[in-house]
Formats: sequence, structure tokens, C-alpha cells
Amino acid sequence: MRRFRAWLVRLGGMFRKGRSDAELAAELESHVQMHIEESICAGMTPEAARRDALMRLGGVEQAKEAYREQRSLPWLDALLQDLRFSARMLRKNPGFTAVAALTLALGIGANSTIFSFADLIVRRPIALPDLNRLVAVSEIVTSTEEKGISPANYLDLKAEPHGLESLAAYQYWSAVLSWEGGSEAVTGVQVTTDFFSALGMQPLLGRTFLPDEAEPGRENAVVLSDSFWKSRFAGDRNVVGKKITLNRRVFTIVGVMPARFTFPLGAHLFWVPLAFTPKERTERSELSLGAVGRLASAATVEQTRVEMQTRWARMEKEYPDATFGRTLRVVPLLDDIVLDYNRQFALLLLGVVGFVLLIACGNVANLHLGRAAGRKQEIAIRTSLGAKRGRLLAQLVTESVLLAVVGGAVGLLLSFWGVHVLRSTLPPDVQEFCDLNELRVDFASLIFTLLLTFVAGLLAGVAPAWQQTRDYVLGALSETGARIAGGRGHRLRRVLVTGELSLAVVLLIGSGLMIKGFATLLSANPSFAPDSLVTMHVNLPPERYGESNQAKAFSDQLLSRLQSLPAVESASLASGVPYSFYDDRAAVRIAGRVELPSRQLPMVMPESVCPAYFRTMHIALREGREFDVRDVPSEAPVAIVSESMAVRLWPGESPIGRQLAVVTPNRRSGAITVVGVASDVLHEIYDHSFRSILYLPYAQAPPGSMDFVLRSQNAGPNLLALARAAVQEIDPNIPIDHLETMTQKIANQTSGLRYVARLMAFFGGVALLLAAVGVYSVVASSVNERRSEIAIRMALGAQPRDVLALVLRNEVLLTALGLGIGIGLALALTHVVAGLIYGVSSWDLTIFTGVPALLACVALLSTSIPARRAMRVDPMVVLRYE
Amino acid sequence: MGDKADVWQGTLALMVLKTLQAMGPLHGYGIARRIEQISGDLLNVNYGTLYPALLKLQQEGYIDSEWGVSDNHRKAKYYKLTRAGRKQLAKEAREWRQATDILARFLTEPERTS
Repeated sequence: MRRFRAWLVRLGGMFRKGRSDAELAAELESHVQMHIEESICAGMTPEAARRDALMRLGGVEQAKEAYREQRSLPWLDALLQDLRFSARMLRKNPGFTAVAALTLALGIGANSTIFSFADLIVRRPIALPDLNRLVAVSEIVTSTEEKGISPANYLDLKAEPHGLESLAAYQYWSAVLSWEGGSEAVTGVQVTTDFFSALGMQPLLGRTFLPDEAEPGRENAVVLSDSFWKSRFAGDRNVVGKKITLNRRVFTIVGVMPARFTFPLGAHLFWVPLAFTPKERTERSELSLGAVGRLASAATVEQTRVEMQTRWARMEKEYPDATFGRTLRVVPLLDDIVLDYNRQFALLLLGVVGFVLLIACGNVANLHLGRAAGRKQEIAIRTSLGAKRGRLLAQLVTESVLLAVVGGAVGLLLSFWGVHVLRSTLPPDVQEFCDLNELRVDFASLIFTLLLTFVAGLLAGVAPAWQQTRDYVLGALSETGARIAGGRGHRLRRVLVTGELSLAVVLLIGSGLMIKGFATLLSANPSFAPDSLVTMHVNLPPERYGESNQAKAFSDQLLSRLQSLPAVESASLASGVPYSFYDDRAAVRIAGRVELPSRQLPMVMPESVCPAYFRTMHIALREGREFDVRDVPSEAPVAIVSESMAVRLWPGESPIGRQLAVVTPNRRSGAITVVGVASDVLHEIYDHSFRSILYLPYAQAPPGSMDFVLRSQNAGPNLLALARAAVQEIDPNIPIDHLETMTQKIANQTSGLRYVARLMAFFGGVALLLAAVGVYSVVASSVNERRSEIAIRMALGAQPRDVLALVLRNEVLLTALGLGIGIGLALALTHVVAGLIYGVSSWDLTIFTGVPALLACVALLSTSIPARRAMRVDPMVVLRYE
Repeated sequence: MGDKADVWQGTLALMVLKTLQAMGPLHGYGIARRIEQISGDLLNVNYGTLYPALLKLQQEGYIDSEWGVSDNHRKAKYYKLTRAGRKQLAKEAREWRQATDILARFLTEPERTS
């Protein structure tokens, strides 16, 4: 405390120098006088007394100096002095200051923009109060990693709280919103009535759900999201009590949630009560729900996990079939939202902009060194006046940091703009894992920017300052000192440029690999001709289409309508088309083989299709026959297998005529005969490993979901509208989604990654530009400093060709070295990118040769301007100037 | 004067505080003389360290100063102990006594004969 007080007083002392200097002088003077008087009293002569006093006093000036140091904070004094001096120096060279500050601003701005985004998706993707008290509870299917919880299991877990204050469930709900004269497919969420209180949220208007609204028949209440309220009700504050029609049922609006409430993440518009039907209350296999719980005040996630898993172990014994191949997962909600994948992407992007900043720092360090020659005299004079090296170092580094602060301030402004650009250009599916409304430059971003600014200032400043103060005695005051060719300063500049080139190579190779990887993804199913393929997902409301004959009647009717549309070559349907997130799994048992325990049976993807499916999708048949009108329920069950499945299950033999059975937890099918082999199709954009598909005829195996496909050479918006109309003519209250061409489907699914690839390419371009500027400035200044050398050589008979060789030789070596290091680094780092996205390989010959070639060209181009200048040196002019 | 010891770092502050306690308000010259006298002229108070030390004590709030007039009608800055200074003096004196006691016991330990 006392020390702090003293520190404060000393801080204050910095501003009262004049007055206390005079006071000290008076005090010392009175001290001397008293001493003299006493000595005189003791018998000395006045002269002797004075001499004795001054001797004893030990030097008035030294005493004053020591006093001054105690009075204020000398290091702060020095710092302020350095800052004032630095500011003067920066003002004196506006060109240098502007270029250097802008370069840093670019690097810092890019970093703080990306940091804001990375921080959002990794640390605070959603704004919920007490987020760390919320846990996600789900069953995980170990084979597919499918996640969710079945209604009956949820209700069992909820019945015994296990350290949870509450456990709420939710389920996405596709519905048709209809009003007089129109209808629209919308997505909402069905939630248990304790959902809002479990998440700790209060409505903006009205109320949330009452407990009795969870009973079937009483669930006609709806809570609107802020966006729905604003877009459809224009933010009407009297909206509570009004009615909307969803799936032909009337719902009363009971409340509106505030804008910051976006749970679960995604583009849904409203919440309605989740009323379990008696059938649902016993459903244990369908993972239809998501569950979120709030920890009781004393409980920890670990305790709760252990308790719930004990309960789960009991359920496993009670219902071995329904729980087969599943585990219970209890994790903090944040971990459920933030996937490792998101973290890796955040790191990747931060790495990219980190490289950009390093290159920017390299350039600024280069600029500092470029100015070093002109400041030799200044430093020499200060040295000869007694400045120590540490003091000079401090001053030069202060200058660099001050420059970085200017750059950081501009960079911060840039990042406000950058975050705005991100928010408006990010693909909408980013909303699935973060709330974009929360994307902004917040306190954490500010701190990050501040730290980064200092780091950048030090990075750019320390090496040049070290260099400049190194041989400050040598040749300092001589004018010719500046013209000694290729000193140490130059070596450092070359090292910097080499480093910049290496980093630029890494960035460009990385972005090149990503862009190339997308091309691979898009051409994964080359036979598809995705431009002429239209897909449409239809959600049949179970209330009216629960029986399989109702669904069959609908789909038959729709298929015949779709086939008759103009320019449609063929139409078909499947339980899930490729790239539609359809991902079912079933075990198969092969007739005539040793009976394996069910856990060891091979897994395949069952897919029900209509006869025209293979023709429509352009899937070639390798062997056997397609499905046709013979394959009806009354006939023997048949199947077509994919090539990979055939090779996997019947290696070296033809599967035609073989029999198998499909085993699901609940039942086992009869014998199914394989009648055909279809060529492989990739269902997942990012995971190409799984290709075992078991096609079943639609008539014999009614699908749980329906994706219609159309093949037409004229698949424009017109056809999409006609397809929608065809559905609505049959039943206007059927929600349709993903009505799009296969090309659009692929584009939508890869939009996030394409965005990242574009960002990387953009930053790669910035890196390229900065590196080019770096190369140019080094060569230019080298030529400048060597003018007299070149002139002498030319006077002695060197040809312009020789001069060119002289200038280029070094630079070519440097570029080659930089590129070599870059390629090595890229080889070491690109497996990170490769691990992130399927289709991106860590090695690609064209990229690994093309990118360095491009950089070599750019470097050569940057060298050519100063090199030409060197060739035009006029020896007479230069030497006369000497 | 070369054989006179300079005051040890850190002990000067304690001596200043003790002097002010014993003598009441006093100017810098008086403090210096008093310390030299008490030490039997064995110590030489370096003036270049005395004034910074006084300033430091003042910054820490242990002493206070004001301009006054000396016995022989000379303007001088007088220093006086504050309440915090009195407490600090008691504390430091106690610590010093302890330290010197321990050392004294160490040094009076009879040498082992072997």
C-alpha cells in the first residue's frame, strides 16, 4: 500500500519539475550555509569552511540528479521522451509512416476480424444466460454417430432428475403456414413446456407455455421468434392473442421471444408445445428429440454424467433391443454446439491471417531497415553525445511500437468493417453453429487487437533496431560509410524477404489445395450431370399419411404428374438422394454363412427406390436387372446392391441370386434375393468412405422419407415452380423443402467451405502482394546503395548484361531459397487442411509446382524494375557526384 | 574522511526516523549532523543519498515537511515524523533488534576445538 502511494506521488512528481527543482536548490543552499556557519563558529576561515562544505556535500549536481530520480519515475520519463521523439520522427516521414502503418493495419485488421469470428464460433456461439450450467443429453449410435434421444428414454431420464434442475426436449417441426390466399413451408420447434425456463429465458411479450399445454389436443399455442414477429407481424406489440394456421390447425400466439434467443440454432421461426402421443411415449428407437438440461445448483457435469449413465445402464438391461449399439452422452451444451471441426476451422483461419500479419511485419521491418542508412548519422551523433546502446534500442523499438499502435488503430477500424462484411456475406448455414447476431468486435477482440499491436510492433522493430545500433561506433560519422555495399543490414533484409516468400508460398499452396479439393468434391459423382437433375424433399404429415397405403397413393399420383411435366425425361423417388443428409444404417445377414452375433454383422445403407431411379440418376447397372413392375409386395422380395457392397460381401463372386436378410433392432426381414449390381454412388459430400448401399424396391419396402428426383435438360426456375405446383395441386398443406437442382444442393452444402476457401485465397493474394512489395523494396534499395559500385564497374567496361547479372544473381538465389523453404513448410502444414476436408489432399503436383512458379514470376517482376534502373546507371553522373 | 563508512543502504531511513523521533522536527542539515554525531563520527552521511531518502520517506507518508526558520534565522525545510512514520519506526526497530540479536548469538558461539 505504502509503495503504491509512493508510486502515485512519483507519478505526480513528473508534472511538477520546475517548482520542486527550485525548492531543492533552496534546501541544498541552506544546508551549505548552515554547514559554513558552523564551521566558522568552530574557527575556520570562511573560504576554508566553504570548500569543506562543498567537499562534504559530494557534488550539488549529483545530489540533484539522485533526487530527481527519486522524485519521479525515470523509466517513464525516458519512455515519454522516446514517444515524443518517435512521434516527431513519424510525422517527419509521412510517406514511410503511411505505408508502414497501413501495411500493419491490414495485417492487424485481418487478424482482429477473424479473431472476432473465431471467438464467436468457438467460445460463445450462442447467447444464453448461465451457458455453463446447461448440458446436452443425447443417445449416440456408435456406428453412425447419429445423435438424439428417443421420447420414451427421454421421459424415463426426466422422471429421475439426476442432478438436473430440469431436462427439456425439443424437436424440429416442418409445417405449412397458411393464410387466406397463400401458404408457405416453415420450420419451427416443438418443445416441452419447461423448455424456456430450463434455458433461463423470459419472453419479450406474453408468456411461454403452461404445463397443461403438453397434453395432446391442448397444444394449440405458439411462441414467436423475434424475426418471425418482425417480418410477419411488423413487430406489432398487440400480437399476443392473434391466431396463425399451421398444418391446417389454428394456433394462438401466446408470446414473443427476444432477438437474442436462438436456441436451438438454425433458421426456425417459432416454438410450439411438444405433446407426446401415447405411441410416442413408448418409442425407444427413433432418436427424434434433442434434450437440454440445467444443472441443479450443487451438481457438476461429471456427477450428473455418472448418475445418468448409471440410470442408462439399467435401461440397457430393461430394453436391450432399443438401446443396442447406443451410448448415453452428457456434455456441457457448449461442447455439443462447438464441434472439434469448428475449432479446427477457427484455428486454420487464425493461422492464415497470422501468416499475413507476419508477412506485413516483415515488410515493415524492411522499411525500418531501408531508413536505417539515412539515420546512421543521427544515431552516430546521439552515440557520441553519450547515449547508451540500450537507450538507442529502446528508442527505435518505441518508434516501431508507436507505428504499430497507429496501424492497430486503423486495423481496429478495418475490423469493424470486416466483421460487418463477414456478417453480410457468410453463408446462411453458418447459423447452424453460431448466432451471427452475436458477431461483433467485442471486449475480447479489443484486448486481442491491443496485444497483437504490441507483438506486431516488437516483431517489426526489434531486429532492425538491433541491427541499427550494432555497429554504431564503426564508420558512424563518415558520409561514405553509408555507401559500403551490402552491409549486415542488407543481409537481414534478405532474410526477411526470404521468410516472407516462404510464408506466401505456404498460404497460396494451402488455398490452392482447398480450391482444388472443392473441384474434387463436385466431380465426385461425375455421372450425375447435376445441372439437369432436380430434387425435392416432401414431408408427409403423419396425421394424414401415417398409413403406408396413403403415402403410396400420394407418391404414385405425384410421380405421374411429375412425369407429365414438359421437358421432364424421367421422374422417380428414393428414401434419400445423395447429398441430402439421408443416412440410415442396417445390419445384413447373408444366407448360407456362419451366424455372427448381431453386433458383428456388416452394416449397409438401405434405400428404397422407384423403378426409374437408376435411369433418372444416371446410375449404371453393372450386372443383373433393374427393379420393375413385377416387384410388388406379393412377389418374392428383391434387392440391388452397390458395387462396393457386392465386392465387400461376396468377394470374387457374383452376388446375383444370393440371399440376405436385413436386421434392425426390432425385427429381421425375410430372405431377400439380389437381382442386380449398381455402380457406386457417393452419398456424403465430405465422407467418401461408405459406399455399401442396399437398394430395395419402393413397393416392397415403403420408405420413411421421400426425395423426388426429376431429370430434365431444362431444369430452370420454371420447372421448379411447376414441381411445387404439382405437389400443391394434390395437397396444398404438404411442406416441401430442398426443391433445387443437384448443382444447387451441392453448392448449398459446400457453401461454408467454399467461403473459407475464398477467404484463404483472398488472404493468399494479400500475402502475395505484400511479398512482392518486400522483394521490390529490397532490390530497389540494394541497387540504390550500390550505384557507385555499379558505376565503377561500368566505367571499367562492364556491360549492362553484367550489371543485370550482378543484381539478379543474389535475388534469384534468395527467391529460390524462399520458395524451397515455403514448399517444405507447406508439406509439413498442409496435412492439417487435408485432414479437415475430404477431397483435399496434402500433396498435389500442379499446386506444389504451380504456386512456386507463380511466386517466382512475381518476384522476378518485382526485381525487374530496379534491375532495369541499375542497367541505366550513368557512370559519369554518379562518379561526378562523388 | 576516506576511512569513514558510508551509511548502509536501507539503514539510513531507519536512522532518519529515529532521529526525528528523538529530536522532533529538524532540517536536513541537522539530521545529517545528528546521525554523524551519534555514530561517533564513524559514519559519513552522503548528502546525495540523504535528500533522495528524505523524499522517499515523504512519498511513503512516513514524514512530512514544511519550510521554517532555523535557530540562526535561516530559512530551512523542517521534517517531522507522521503517525505512520512512528509506527513504521517501531516496527523496523523491532526487526533490527531481532536481526542483530540473532547475529550476535551466532558470532558469540564458542569456536569448536579440534
